[in-house]
Amino acid sequence: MTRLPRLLIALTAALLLAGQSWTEDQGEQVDEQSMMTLGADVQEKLGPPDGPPRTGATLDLATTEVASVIRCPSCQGLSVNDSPAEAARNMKGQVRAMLGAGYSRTQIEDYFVGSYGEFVLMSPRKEGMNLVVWAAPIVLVIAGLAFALGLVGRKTEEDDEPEPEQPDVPSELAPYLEQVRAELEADRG
Amino acid sequence: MSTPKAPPRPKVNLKILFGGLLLLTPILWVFVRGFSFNPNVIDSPLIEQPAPTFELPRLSDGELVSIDQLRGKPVVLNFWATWCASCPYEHPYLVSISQRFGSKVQFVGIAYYDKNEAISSWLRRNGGDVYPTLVDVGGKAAIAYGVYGVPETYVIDKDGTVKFKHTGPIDPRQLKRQIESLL
Repeated sequence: MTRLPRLLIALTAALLLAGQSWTEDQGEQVDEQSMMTLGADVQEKLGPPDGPPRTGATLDLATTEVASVIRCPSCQGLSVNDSPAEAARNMKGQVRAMLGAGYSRTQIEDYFVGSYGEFVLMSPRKEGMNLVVWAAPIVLVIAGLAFALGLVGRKTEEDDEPEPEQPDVPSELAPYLEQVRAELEADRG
Repeated sequence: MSTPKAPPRPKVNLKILFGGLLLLTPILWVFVRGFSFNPNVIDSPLIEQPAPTFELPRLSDGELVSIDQLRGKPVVLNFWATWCASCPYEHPYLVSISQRFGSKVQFVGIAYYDKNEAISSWLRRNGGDVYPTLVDVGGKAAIAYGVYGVPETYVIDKDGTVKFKHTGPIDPRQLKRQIESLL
């Protein structure tokens, strides 16, 4: 009976190791210096960097922050910061190289959007038609609340409405009306 | 015998009708777009833009080749890899089309996340090194061209403008049409 859990653990370990080698060993090994080299097209597309070069902890922190908003194109919903795929690691390397050279987050986003399109951003930018995506849930919640409050208000108004006034009855019919009322009272009674 | 009265027509609440239509229309639009989506045609922001610059080592001799050296005639850039399942089926078509157009069109293969030894061995098994193969060490060219996965093919005109992008194994007839439109 103890064989099955052991077998499962061994299988899981084998699959994890196989997955790791598949994602990490496809391409030629790239050294740190090559990773920090900017792509040949970066300056051509963006011009000079907006800020001063970054190093050390500042660079590490900025790399994590910016790589978290860039989508891995060959993964399912993962950022290049979170994905172990080789494509993602290279893209993260490009992000790091650009930050190291002094490019700003906006410039880096522009660069990747220029190559892959808006899809490469983990969340759409808050501009143009994208505003609909950001605003629609808020507008719908407000509209829903307004609708619900309107319904409640109308119901309360209906409850508060005074009893309708009795129409004037000609004097010759008044005895009959009194009789009807008396009979109704007696029935309820 | 009296004829039975027709049931009263239900009243249509126009506010609810138009409100519902207003909500449903965008949802229907998203569905229609989703069903008509061709995953092999991914809109690339590079179309009608200058082809991104790259400088990559040639597999055969390690010499650096840049996109600027390829200007003057249409270029077909094919990103591929030895570990890509459909590349062995696509490669013979590319070889055949490159031979058909000869020196009028420059075909270039860019090996994507791959090892030099594996690339050489793969080419020997799959029709040879008929046109130059460049090695994208570190994936800088793939990033510059916005490659989602291999194979991907780009057609660039003689002035260096990207005209066409195809994701997945290339349709030979479509590629020939694209090339002929640039000659």
